[in-house]
Amino acid sequence: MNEPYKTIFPILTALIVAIFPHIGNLPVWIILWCVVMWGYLPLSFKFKWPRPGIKIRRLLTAIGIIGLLFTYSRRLDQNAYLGLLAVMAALKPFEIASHRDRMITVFLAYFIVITSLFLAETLAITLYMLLSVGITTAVLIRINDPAGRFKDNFKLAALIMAQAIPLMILLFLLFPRIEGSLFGLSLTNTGKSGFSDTLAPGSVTNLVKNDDVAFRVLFERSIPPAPLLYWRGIVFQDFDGRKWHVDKQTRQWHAPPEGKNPVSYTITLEPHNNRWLFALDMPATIPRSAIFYKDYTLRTRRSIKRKMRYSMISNTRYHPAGENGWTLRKSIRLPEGVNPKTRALAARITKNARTVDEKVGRILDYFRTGGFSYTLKPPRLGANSVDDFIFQSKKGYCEHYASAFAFMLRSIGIPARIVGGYQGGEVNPYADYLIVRQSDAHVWVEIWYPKTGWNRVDPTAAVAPERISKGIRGTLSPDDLPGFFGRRYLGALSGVIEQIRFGWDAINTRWSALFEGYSYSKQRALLEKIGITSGGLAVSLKALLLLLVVIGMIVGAYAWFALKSPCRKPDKVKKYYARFCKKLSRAGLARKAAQGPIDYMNHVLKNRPDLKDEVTEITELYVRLRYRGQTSRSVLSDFIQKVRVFKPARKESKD
Amino acid sequence: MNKQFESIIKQISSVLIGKEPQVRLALTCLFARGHLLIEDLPGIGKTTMAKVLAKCLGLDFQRIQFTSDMLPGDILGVSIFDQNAATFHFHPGPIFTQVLLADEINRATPKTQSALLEAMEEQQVTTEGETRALKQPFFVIATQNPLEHAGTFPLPDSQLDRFLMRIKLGYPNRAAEKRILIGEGAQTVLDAMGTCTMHDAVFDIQAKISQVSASDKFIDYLQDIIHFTRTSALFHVGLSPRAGLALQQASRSWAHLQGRDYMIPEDLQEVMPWVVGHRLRTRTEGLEIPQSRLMEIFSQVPVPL
Repeated sequence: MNEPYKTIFPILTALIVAIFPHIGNLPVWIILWCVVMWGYLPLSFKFKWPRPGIKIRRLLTAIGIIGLLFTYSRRLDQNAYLGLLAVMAALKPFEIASHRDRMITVFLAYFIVITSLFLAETLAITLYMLLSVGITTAVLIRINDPAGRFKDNFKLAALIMAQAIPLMILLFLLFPRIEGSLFGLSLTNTGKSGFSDTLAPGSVTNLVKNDDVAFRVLFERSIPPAPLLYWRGIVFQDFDGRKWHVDKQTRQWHAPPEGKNPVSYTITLEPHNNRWLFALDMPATIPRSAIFYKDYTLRTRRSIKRKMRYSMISNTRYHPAGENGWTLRKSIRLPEGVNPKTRALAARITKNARTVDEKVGRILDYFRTGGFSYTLKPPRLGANSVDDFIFQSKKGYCEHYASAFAFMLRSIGIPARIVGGYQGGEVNPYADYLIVRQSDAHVWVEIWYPKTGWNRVDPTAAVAPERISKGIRGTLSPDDLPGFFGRRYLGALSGVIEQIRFGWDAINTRWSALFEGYSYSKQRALLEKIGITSGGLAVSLKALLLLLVVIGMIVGAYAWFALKSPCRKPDKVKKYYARFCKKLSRAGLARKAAQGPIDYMNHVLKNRPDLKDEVTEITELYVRLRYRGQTSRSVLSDFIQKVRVFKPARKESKD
Repeated sequence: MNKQFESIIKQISSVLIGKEPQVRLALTCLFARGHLLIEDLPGIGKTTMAKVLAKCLGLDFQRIQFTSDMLPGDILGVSIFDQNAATFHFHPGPIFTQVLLADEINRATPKTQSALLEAMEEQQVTTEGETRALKQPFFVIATQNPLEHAGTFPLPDSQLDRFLMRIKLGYPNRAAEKRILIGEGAQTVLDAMGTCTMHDAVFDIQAKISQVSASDKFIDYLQDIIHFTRTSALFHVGLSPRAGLALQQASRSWAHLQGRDYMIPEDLQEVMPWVVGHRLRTRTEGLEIPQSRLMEIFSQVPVPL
């Protein structure tokens, strides 16, 4: 009856720990399925309920597979694989009868642990996986040593894992790095949020409510001042009266525009399920695997579903080259009939102005002085959204200002377009890099000047200059901020939370730079350093194989020698019994060489009855280990522990 | 402590006053399927001991008084022609028993001695081409008189080796002797004594003894002892492998008597003087080594930790 407590429950624990990180990822019915199956088993042991026989197990398997087919018939991705593992792992414990079944189930738990890599490769997941592997290994030891103590199982598991570290490092350094994702599968669940290819009133506002990290930037030198931190991502060219669209016909372009004040930096972009790459305005280089477009944006070939790192240089001052008439014509195109009042207004306030500069200045002045306010909670707008905004609500976020500004410029014949991206970012005080969050999302306007080409003009800067200098957190009132910013107003605690957040982010970033940043090219560089210059993947595989063979030979030789001469094995029983005898001999009770343990014990007890309990216990354990063949770890560790704490005091003199 | 053993020992000690250690050794020897050699003066109680052991264990008992004119047939039995049936009929000798007291074994001729010793080793008797198995269990308790050198044929070393143990009874102490003189422990007590165990139980005990385990460390110690006798300058010859097995078997029996199913070095130390005493001689004079001296010598062999 003790059987399940010794093996089945630890196995269940390993499975539950392994599957835990996937709870959010599995459909509800599979979670319920697991809970029911894994819950029924312990209860069936407790209340002596019947356990399902082979027929019922087959039926359950069939039901599970049908359920999986229904759930995953549309997409056979890693989630389907995970679902299959979970459904089967839920049934497997019912089947455990032999040692072999137990072993298989434990290895199933290892498989499930590996699938955690589908989720992410963050430090937290990695640490959890380590914990999970530790528990699973302890369970593996447990089922092979059911009599031992849990503590010893875990100790041995930790030892085994520690011994595996050199191999782990070797595999990490030499196993061929795959460019792309693990198993060639995509991480579908990670493309969370970001810009889409249309911009409507409210779309940036929605984005700002999200506190997720968009990307992190590590600058080679100092971080440029906040007003220069415009992270260019998307250009919205076409306006349909309400929404702005990306121009699908934008062509690839061979080279970025020229400029001055180069800044070098590396961006670690979180997956956002689109192709945009963000870069400081204005990109001067094109990262590998990116395409440069005529509207000065960068895109990848496929949508970004994994963390991506790229290094670039940007020029904070730039001189775009000439633009063709076709693009310029597109940049003043407006749909007929929409926002008539705004058109009239634009014409009126720029009436006397002659240069483009002057006209732009007049419109910006209008925004500055027209009683407009900057808010995250703008009222809803009607069909003529720009009219409604300018003449009625006068409240808006960056997309309202950018949209109205661009519309007004186009209506008076100045080519203008909207650029989407991020503005600003938080500096992590622990690691001196910039964290750009979705809440830093921003849109601004680019205007075509006949002499200097496309130039950035940000109407938000006119309405709320502190948005640019201090970032969103310094701009909006607490009431106006979305919930997550409320943390800042928790009083003294908020400071601590903020520090922890930054610290954790710094650690995670360092982690990802260290481990995910170890790319194929870095591996090649390393291999070249140690003398393997050509061949790439095949050679690194060969090197790995060779090293594994060498390690295997060393371990094998060691094992052979160790087995051949058992005396070489450090004999802990001997060591600690000798220690025990030494402690007693210091107390004046030396053991004679020919004295057996029981004789010695009797001799000691005759002289020192006060030591009876300890000496009897230790001797009994020693005899068990030495002569009774009870060499289990628990007895040994018990023995060692008792000898360690044994402290015979010198006998008090009788006078 | 093995309760079964203790009760047997208590009962025997009530007859054999003051001889508890010797009773323990004798039982250890018998349960280890070994034969016992008692070496002592006449009148010390050798015969009483053999009788008590036999009776207590519920076994058949026979006694042979060895003399110099004894022939093997006197021990093994003879075939006599039956005139009525016109066939030879085998009359089994006193050896067809379970406990055989071979009194003053060294007074018989070597030919007669060897007839007995062969039976001891083989547990069977062969006469006139016919082999007859002896009853089981079969123990021989032989006695010999150390002082009576005239007209004796001392057992050669090779035959002494057949005995698992050799013990000495020694004089009783004063208190014990007083009880003997008063009349306790006399024949009457022996007659009144019932059996302590059925002879099936003897098989059980023997089976259990053979299951007593010998750990690596124990065997290490045993080997150290054997090796010591072979390399030490003190001994004429070292212990034979058979002596090693005898030591182990006696230790097993002793361990079981202590209520353990594994052996510890102390078991070996307890039985060793009695197992090796008749197997070892000094190098220089070829004399036997007194038991106290043996214990002193073997205390040079450390117990491996």
